[in-house]
Amino acid sequence: MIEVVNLTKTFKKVNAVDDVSLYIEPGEIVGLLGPNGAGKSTTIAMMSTLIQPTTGDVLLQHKSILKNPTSLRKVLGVVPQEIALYEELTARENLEFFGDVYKIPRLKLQERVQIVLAQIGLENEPKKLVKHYSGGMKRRLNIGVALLHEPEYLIMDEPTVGIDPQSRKYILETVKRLNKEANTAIIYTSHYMEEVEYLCDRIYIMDKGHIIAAGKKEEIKAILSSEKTIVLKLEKHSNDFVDELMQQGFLSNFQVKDADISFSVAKNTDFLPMLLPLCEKHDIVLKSFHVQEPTLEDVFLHLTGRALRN
Amino acid sequence: MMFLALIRKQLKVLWRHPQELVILLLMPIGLITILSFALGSLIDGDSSPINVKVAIVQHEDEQQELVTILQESHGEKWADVHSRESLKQMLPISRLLQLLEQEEMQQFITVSQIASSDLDALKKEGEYDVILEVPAGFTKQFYTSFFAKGEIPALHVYLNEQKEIASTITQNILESFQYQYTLMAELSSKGLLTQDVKLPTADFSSTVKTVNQQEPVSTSVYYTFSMTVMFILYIAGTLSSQAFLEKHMHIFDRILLANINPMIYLLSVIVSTVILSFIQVSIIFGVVYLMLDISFVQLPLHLLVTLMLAIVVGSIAALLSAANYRFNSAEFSNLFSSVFVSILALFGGSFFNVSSFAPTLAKIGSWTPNGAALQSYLTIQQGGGLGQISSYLWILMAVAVICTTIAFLLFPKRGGIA
Repeated sequence: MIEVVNLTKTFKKVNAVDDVSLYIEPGEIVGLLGPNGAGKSTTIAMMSTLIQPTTGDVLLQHKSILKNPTSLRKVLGVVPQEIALYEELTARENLEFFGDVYKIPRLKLQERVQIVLAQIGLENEPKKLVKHYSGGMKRRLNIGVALLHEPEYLIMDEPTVGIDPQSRKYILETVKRLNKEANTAIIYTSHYMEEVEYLCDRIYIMDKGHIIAAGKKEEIKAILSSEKTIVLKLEKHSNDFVDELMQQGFLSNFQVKDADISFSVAKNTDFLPMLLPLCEKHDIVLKSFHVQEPTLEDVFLHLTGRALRN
Repeated sequence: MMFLALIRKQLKVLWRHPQELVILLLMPIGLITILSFALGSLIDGDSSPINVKVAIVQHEDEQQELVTILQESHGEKWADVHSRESLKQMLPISRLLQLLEQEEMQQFITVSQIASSDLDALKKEGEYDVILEVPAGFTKQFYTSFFAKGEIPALHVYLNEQKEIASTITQNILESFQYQYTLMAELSSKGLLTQDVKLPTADFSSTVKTVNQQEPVSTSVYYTFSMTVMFILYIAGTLSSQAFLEKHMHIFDRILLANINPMIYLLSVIVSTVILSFIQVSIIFGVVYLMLDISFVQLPLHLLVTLMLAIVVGSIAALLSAANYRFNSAEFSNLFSSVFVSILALFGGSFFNVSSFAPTLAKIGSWTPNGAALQSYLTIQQGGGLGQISSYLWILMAVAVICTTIAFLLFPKRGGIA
């Protein structure tokens, strides 16, 4: 098990990470969810021994690794948010280089390179220079490099940023497969709540350097268990209508995007007697409305008053 | 294996950067070739860009004139039998021709003797820069004026106004010539001119020799070494930029996560730079050997200097990498390549031989790594041994030690987010 205990990192008197504690056990997928600038990358940089925390500790099997990070590094793979590859080398050359750096014996390395290329779906184009790869292929190879030494724990920092839906789906499936087949424990950071929701058993939600919620997916959603989310689609946007809707005291967590409006309401509240006359008053044509279970996005909105991707 | 992988990777990455290769290999070779051909004739002195064409038209036979003069002056003291050999040596036009046809003068002046019947045509054509017309009776008048205070003889000199430099050169030569004879006349008038006095002969030498009497170096040899020691510096800029890119792209983080000590990584930057610098110099030397026929007279010493210089360049690459990493910017490498290399090249004598006009600057230049290496190469090329280049090698070693020490102190011990 890897634990981080009361980690704090201060840059120029600003706490980028403030008193964060979390853990990951073998074989589980843990999500670290939060908007950009929440402190996710700093947390995982400390957790992976790349930067020293201002205060706090990182433990592997209950032993601090801050002074001697070797034991953790042996069992840890890190997929950085950036494409940390040599663009002038081929996929195979990149894998061979990092394999050599990990001191994997030559024969075994050849075998591992083949396996990893297959895992990331690049076995047919290993001799192409990385600079000629698509964004999705680069992301996959970026993951592949971290798998070479067969880590027990894998930290993935926003591994799907800036790629097409097809590549994104492939990566998510690869993560699932890795966890299932190799029993690799994975910390997955993202600001895409649907990815975290799809992959993770447990979730930490971060904002402004703090963990603001933690627990199993269901437990986190239970924060909003007393509420339901209403999604309205109007024929056209109306400021007056939205303003009057927001003035209703029993509605909360408003999100307005053009003619789409969503808000939360207590589960036992009958809001239709209020909504329909309001539509009539403002001459609003209601194209659709539906009631949905709260998502992690709703939880984040509930906890911070802001949307994840604002 | 891991260390070799770091170096192998560096070589591969650079090999696949055509723009860098052009700067590091094609540019120095191109410049050496261009400078050798463009400045070679000017600096080497093998041939001169100045060629003055002089035509001499004589209306008399000088030898015959002397015989006549001696017959006519029978009984005169200055024309006695003992003085005849000296008088023969004084024949003015022969002396002038002797002066103009000296080996050193032939580099600048071409003398042609033209028949007097062609004089008018000659003046019209303008082919010659200078025409010297020797009138009939010139020799007789010369001796008479010399020994018997007769009328001063006159040569007719026609200068081509369109060729000012050629005219000036000729005028200077004639003035010098005239001065010699005036001196002789003065000696004669004071009774000091005896048969023991011989006319001074002009003694010119244009071969520049060093104070140690070493062999002079040709322009192509000079620029081969001066360009090499300049362009080798760019490798430090290039490799330190690449090293920073590895930090910027978080590749360095990956290397650290593989439990590689940052100091090992820095050492790999140094070793890669040394290898690449050595390869660069070897390629340049190989090409100039084949193209410009430049031979490396003491190859082991050349290799020693190259190795020392390569180590210095490696240490500079390490220093720049450390500064880039510490301050999270590639500006140090950029500044080095765009400004510092030029300054070092200027002081170190890469553009021209500084010592010929600014000895203080040359002294400072010899303390620069490129300057010290250039002086070492030139000394070896001139036949100097290890003893003569040892002071330069000490300078190179000192620079390498200082840069490496600072680099290792400055280089961050951890990675992390930029």
